[in-house]
Amino acid sequence: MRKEFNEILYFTGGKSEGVDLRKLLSGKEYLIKTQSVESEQAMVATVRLFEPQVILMDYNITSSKINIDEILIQFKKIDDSIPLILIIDEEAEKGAINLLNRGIRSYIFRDRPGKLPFLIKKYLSHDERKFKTLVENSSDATLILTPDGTHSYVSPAITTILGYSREEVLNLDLYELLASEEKEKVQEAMTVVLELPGVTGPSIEVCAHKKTGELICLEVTLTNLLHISDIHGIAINLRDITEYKLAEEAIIESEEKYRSFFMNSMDGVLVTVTDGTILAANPAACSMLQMTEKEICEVGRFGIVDLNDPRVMEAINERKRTGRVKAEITMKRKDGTFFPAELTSSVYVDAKSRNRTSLIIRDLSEKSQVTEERNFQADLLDRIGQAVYATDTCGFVNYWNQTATRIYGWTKEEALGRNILDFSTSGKLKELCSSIRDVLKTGKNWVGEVNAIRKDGKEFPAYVTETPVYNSKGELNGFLVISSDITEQKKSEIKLRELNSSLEKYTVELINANKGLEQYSFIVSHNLRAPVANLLGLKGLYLQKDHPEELRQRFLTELFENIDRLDNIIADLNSILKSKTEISEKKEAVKFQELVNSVTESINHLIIKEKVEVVTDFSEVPQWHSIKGYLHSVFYNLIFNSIKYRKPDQNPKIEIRSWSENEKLYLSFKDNGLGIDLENKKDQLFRLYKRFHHHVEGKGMGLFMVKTQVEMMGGEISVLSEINKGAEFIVSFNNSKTETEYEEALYIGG
Amino acid sequence: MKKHYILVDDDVTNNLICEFTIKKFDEQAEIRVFTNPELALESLKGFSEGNKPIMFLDLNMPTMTGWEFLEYFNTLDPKIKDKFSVYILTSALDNGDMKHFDYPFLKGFLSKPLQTTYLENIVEKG
Repeated sequence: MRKEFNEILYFTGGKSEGVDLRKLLSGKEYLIKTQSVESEQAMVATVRLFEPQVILMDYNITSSKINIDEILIQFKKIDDSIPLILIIDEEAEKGAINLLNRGIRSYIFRDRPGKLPFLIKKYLSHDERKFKTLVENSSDATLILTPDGTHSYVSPAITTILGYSREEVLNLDLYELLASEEKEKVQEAMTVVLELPGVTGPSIEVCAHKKTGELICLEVTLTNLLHISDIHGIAINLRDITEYKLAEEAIIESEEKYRSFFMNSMDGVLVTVTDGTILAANPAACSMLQMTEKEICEVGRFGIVDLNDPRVMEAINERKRTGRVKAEITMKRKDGTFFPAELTSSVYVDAKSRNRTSLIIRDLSEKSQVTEERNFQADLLDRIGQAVYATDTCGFVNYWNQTATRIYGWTKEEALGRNILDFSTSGKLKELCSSIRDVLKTGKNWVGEVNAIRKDGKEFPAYVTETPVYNSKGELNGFLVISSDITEQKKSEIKLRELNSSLEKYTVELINANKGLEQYSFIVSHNLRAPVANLLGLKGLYLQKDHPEELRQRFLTELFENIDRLDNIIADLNSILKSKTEISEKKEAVKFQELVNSVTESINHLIIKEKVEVVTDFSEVPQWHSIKGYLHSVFYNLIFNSIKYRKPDQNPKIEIRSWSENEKLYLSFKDNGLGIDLENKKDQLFRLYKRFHHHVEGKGMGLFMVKTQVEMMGGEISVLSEINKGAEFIVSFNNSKTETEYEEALYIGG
Repeated sequence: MKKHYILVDDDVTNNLICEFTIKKFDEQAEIRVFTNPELALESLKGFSEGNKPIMFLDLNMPTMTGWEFLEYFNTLDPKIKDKFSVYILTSALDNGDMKHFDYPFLKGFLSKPLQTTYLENIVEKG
């Protein structure tokens, strides 16, 4: 294209004289190749080789070997844009005119060649100028891609579109500018176009990077112009469609927005005409009216309202007057049922200057259901058996149910708007309430018992659940309080606790009493019956006359002894029973040392005889408020026992002391006597008529009496001992027992 | 062959009644009397006389109950203890606790005073 010279190929005929072109076309701008023609093939080869811009052809070349029609067909195949000028003799003009339709651009007469330079100039310059004007001023960029991959031409618009200068583009691989996924698309289009010379391929849209890196959208059109010698390449037309694409997207988006609003609106939306025709209805409207959009459009305005509702015409008139209306009317469903609706309608002019109206329908029946439900819930709260009230975050009451009125005495009117701290609690409670509120503010519930105050000033115990309430945004809105009067529960709880503790006490005492009964039953069946059985046996022996007299006398002696034994046992039982009934005796301060002195005096002869040493230490607890007779008996029996079960080779020594520990009084009697085999005898130690030593006289009554009396005074007795290592009896009394409990214990124990 | 009887009871009157009742029933009877149960156990350890001796045991004794006695007795050599037929002879009128002590040598529970009818039954049983 950008050849330095305008190349002209001149096919001369053999016979006739040629035109002297060099004379005609003076100057350096022409390169003239004159060729004498021998065959069609040679001509075609020359054109291919020479690639001329203009071909001159002598009409005389036509011969038996050369058919001019065939030549023109061949040339057209090579490049139909090359202007062909025929040189003829005047008489051949007719034939030349015929050839003008078949590829010959023009002809000149051999004898008048002066027109030739003008023609050539015209052909050469005309196309180029037009081309330049069109291409270089277009906003589209045009590139020509040669088969070797270089650009033979780049139009100036490329700078506007891609930001690269023409020179830069010449050295650029345009593929590299494409977004990666687009390369294939262009490659494919290129493949298609390469197969079809002269054909313009379909436009493709691709994204490419500008020099600045910005992404733009391009419309690319490829045209295969390889067969045109002036171009010999693929013409690439680039158009920047970025703005267009954006605008298109914006339109789609905006349409979508309105469409989505229309389709998804909870309200029914109708597009209507002022005369009542309905043009469109959204799904919400369809669901309210239970009709399809088509059905709604068919029935029109009066098919969807209650014609008996006077408000319908009022609303139409209102809109006619003011252009808009908002009204509540009764609407009709497909099945003929009615529903209350709120209607908003306004008149507008559409893009084509037509009057249109929009109609927005809100179904009020659901709203009235919600209201009904709320009323129901409020009613439920009123009927509930607990006081329910709510306050704002500062404690001002904003809800107060009927039970609250009943429990607290304040009416709803009195309570609403007042601070709960000011009328349901007193001084000390206010502090508690503030601290409760602090707990609630952390989002936790508070459950507990408080003393609430009635309107009349009476306090009552209340069981209260307080809950923080949040609004839909999650902000603390206030507090909900559920409270119930638990005066009755409290009373019965206290009573129950009292009963329970008495029951525990009675149970212990019953168990003790029962143990006592068991022991009496044992005493009666064994100890009391033993002499009776003997009497029966002796009676039988005595009545047998065959025994010798001395023997019968012995039986009698035994008989009398057993009568005495029976009497003794009955006397013992009597003293035990008596000790149990003597509990009515007055309690008094009993000094331990005085007790010891009194006991040792009564058995003075024994003390002296056995050289008994009694050591006492009552410094910690010198006296005890109790029944003197009992304590005397306990001291007597324990001291006497220690002497009785002394070691034969050792003077008996008894240590007695008192102390206080864990609110209990302790008395210890420790001796150096024989000791007791506790491992085997422990449970029998304190039983009636039990004895542990054969050599010592004894009925086995002492320890039994001690235990009975200690228990009568509400105490316990235990023993520590080993054989031959003495024994230590420890008596303990509960220090904290109250007078009444003590007496009750005695009463039940007796 | 002489029948052997052993009495264990701290009550001397009862022992006297038993002796004469047994003698009345069987003049040939050999009777040993223990008022101290500990001594009775000690002496029975080496007991070898007679065939199937019969023991009358009191329950309510001051230093050792009849039940405790049986516990110790049960620890004796089976060759000795299994020879015995032990009868509890107590002043109580019922035998409430007896089922708790299931010794093979414990044959019965008798209420004082001992009578010849008891002895007849015992001998009949063998």
